[in-house]
Amino acid sequence: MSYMNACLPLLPRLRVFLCKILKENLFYACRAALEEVEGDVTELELKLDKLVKLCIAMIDTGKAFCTANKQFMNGIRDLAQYSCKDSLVETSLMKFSDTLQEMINYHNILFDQIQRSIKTQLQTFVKEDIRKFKDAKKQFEKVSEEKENALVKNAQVQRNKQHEVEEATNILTATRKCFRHIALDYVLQINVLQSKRRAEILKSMLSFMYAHLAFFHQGYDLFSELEPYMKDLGAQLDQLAVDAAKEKRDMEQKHSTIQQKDYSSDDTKLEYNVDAANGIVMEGYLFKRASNAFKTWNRRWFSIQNNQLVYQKKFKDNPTVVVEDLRLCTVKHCEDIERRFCFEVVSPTKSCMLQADSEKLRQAWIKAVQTSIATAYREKGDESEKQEKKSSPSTGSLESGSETKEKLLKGESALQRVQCIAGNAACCDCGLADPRWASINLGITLCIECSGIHRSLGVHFSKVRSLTLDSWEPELLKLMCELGNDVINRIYEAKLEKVGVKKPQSGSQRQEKEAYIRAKYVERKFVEKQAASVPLPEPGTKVLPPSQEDKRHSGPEKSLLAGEQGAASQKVRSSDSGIQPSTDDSREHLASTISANSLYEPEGDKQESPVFCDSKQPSPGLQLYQAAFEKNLPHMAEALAHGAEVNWVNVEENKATPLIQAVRGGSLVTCEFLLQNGANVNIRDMKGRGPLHHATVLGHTGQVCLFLKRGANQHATDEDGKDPLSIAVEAANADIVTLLRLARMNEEMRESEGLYGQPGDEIYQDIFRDFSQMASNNPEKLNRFQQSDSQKS
Amino acid sequence: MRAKDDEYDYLFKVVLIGDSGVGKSNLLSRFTRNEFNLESKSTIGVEFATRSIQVDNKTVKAQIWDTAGQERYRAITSAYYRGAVGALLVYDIAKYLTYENAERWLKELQDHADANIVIMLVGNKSDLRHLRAVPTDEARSFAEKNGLSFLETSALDSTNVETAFHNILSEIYRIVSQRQITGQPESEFGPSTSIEPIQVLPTQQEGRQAPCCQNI
Repeated sequence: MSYMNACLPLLPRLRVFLCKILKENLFYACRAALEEVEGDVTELELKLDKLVKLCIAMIDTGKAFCTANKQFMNGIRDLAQYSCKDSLVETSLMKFSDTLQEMINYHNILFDQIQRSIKTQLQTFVKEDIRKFKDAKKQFEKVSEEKENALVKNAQVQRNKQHEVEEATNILTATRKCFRHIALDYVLQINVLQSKRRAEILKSMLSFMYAHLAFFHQGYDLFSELEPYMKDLGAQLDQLAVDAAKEKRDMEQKHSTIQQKDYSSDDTKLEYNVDAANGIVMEGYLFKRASNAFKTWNRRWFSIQNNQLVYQKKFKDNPTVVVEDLRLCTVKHCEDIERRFCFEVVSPTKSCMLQADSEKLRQAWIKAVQTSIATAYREKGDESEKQEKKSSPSTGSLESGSETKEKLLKGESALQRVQCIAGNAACCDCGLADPRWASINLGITLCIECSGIHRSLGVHFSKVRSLTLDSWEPELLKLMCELGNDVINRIYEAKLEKVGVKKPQSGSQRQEKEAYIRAKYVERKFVEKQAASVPLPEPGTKVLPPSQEDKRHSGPEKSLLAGEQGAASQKVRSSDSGIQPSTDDSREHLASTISANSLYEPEGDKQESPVFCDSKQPSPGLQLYQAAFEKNLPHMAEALAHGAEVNWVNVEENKATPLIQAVRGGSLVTCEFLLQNGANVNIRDMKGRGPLHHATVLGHTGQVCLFLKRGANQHATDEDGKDPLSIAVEAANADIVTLLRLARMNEEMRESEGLYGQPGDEIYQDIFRDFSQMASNNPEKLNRFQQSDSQKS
Repeated sequence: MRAKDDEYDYLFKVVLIGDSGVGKSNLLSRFTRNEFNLESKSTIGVEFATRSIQVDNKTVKAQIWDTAGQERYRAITSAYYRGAVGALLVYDIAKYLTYENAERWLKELQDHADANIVIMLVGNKSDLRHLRAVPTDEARSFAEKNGLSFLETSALDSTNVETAFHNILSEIYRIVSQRQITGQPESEFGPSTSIEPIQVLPTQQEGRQAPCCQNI
């Protein structure tokens, strides 16, 4: 009873009910109290359910908060990593984010505890204790119904039926007993629930509050630890603000001084500096009148550098060359135009109208151009001054004028790039330092005197160009960089000591040099018969007799003849068992001896160099053919020195030429080398395909560009009746199609209207220059459609 | 006959741009050769054709560059637009997306072409009335907003093809001839008049005109 008493204050009516329930006649009266209790419990259940739901919602939201918090913290970490250059920002951000991470952990713990203390605890209470109460209630109701029935039955019994009366009375007594028992049980259950409810609610609330206490306590500790650092940072921040204010004041002061200066002078750089370290004599914005029909004025960033006038549209763009060689141009004021401050830069091929922002700037630009012209003459043309000044409007320079669009603009001049190749710092033939001329088919550098001698040999022996005055197409420059004086002299001066000729010095007489150069390149007296570095013929490749010196200058028919001749001797050899190397060699030797009518390759020479007699040696033509495929320029130069016919025909392989092999090899420079040495760009193989066909089939865009520039005939059809264009269209190679169609259009335009002043011509040149530069400098850009191996060089 | 054909007072470069399959190549063939091919293939790279017309009693020769609409068939050069004074931006009136992309093509022109290039928006395939997806008014107001002229054409039944090219060439002619009046006629692009170009045969390579030099 004591535990009952404990809950009595909670439910004062229950006591009444308890007393009354035992007195049956009073039962009815306490019914109301009972219902009230039941209602109360239902209400409690609802309230608790609601509280649990709210708690779950709170926990979920809290977890979402933690996730968001975590993301925010990651953002801070990101920012910290980004600010790794500023150690103060980085460390403090990292520290803060660590603290925040801790807080997130605390939050998670808090929510865990809330979950345990409220959700789990109350849910169990609702589910178990209230259910027990409900069970008891059900039972109580059932029993009270039974008791009701027993009463009814007892009342219905007739007095005369003693037996029935007795039975009914007994049942009534039993049910009454049972009812009393159950009723007591029920009341007990009610009291248990009431007491438990109090404990459970308070317990869970208490642990909830303790969880919070722990949370805030931990948070407090955490931030207490951090506080000194924060205070420190705050102090630093104040200092920073002070510093920034000071800096701002300084800046303002400077600004005002600058502004004062601004009033006195023009805002743009006026000075030009001829000796500028970066090579930029002057730069700045100018308006440029477009060369198309509209003559639109565009503001562009111009600069004078490396003896060129160039401009850029955007900062990252490659500069566009306006004047390729300032020495070939004049600059003049232009007053007969509607705009002010205009000046015109006139070169042999075009003129360019420019506009400065002010008269001062115009004067500065004109002066800068003029000074650059003068300096260019003084500096670069010193050794050739006499010659150049006289002849600048004639052959050599004008040729360069028309080609200079192709010029590489790499910040480095052709001279610099070529001179740093092995041996190139001294003239190839007399050793004079700082040679400024080159032979482009040989790939060597020359002093001015030797270059003059080379010129006199004729272009079929040596093609001379100036490294400073001429323009250099990118592929030609690469060619120069792959050969060089050391490589070429190893070939052309191999036997120098053996023969006993002394190489002339820079101070030698011109006649002496001339005789030497003639012997070296025309007669090739110092070339070792066959060099050791020559690769052996691949197994299966049949060896042809060496072609003769005189064939080097013969046309295609003659070389075809040579091919047939080769084929004939080939048949002889193969018919009488050419398997053993020794017989093969002797055959080979015999064949070459028979056919060799070369003045410079007497039989005796061969005897003298047993190394080369022993090994199986390909003919120079075949050597050239193979080296072209292998992209081996020194070997190609060697083969040519040995008298290889540049248009040699391999009858064993569809009558392909070295140039076709070079196409297959995929290198642009080998093609250029062969072309410079007189390769015919239009010789076709047995299937009717020329180099242009092959380059198109293989998707070698750079080579297609080169061949078109060198006048390849794109209308030739192969045995299937296909011209390069139809092959490119079939392969859907947009770049090659564009080049071919462009060249075709240009051909048509030229046919109908001569050479100069064509907008079409200009665009054609622009596009071909773009492609040439891409092919030499960014070949990967052109590989989009390539079907075979990647294009080297 | 050829010589007569080739005499002209002005030569204008005009580019055809727009999405793949809108009918650029057929517009070109209709205008230059009066041909139409229902099964024409994608243009690879670029194609050219020329035709001369009379404007103001002057002969204007149009050199028309038909470019590939499909990205993978376009050559790796922005020089397409170099020197172009006119552009026909073509879309298909039956394909709304091709019209939507006009904005991107305009951007491309802004990036690469002359700032004064004359642009005409052309809604092609106007014969496909029952399939129309781009309302004429919408396209017209878009053109007005962007300062473009506008026409709907059909390369198939020839509607407005002639007019479209004629209009754009006349507009270019008008601008260029006005500029020539205000500006000085001096120094056309090409060699400056004060300097007589001396034609010198190259001593090597450059074999286009002189194949005899090839084998040296």
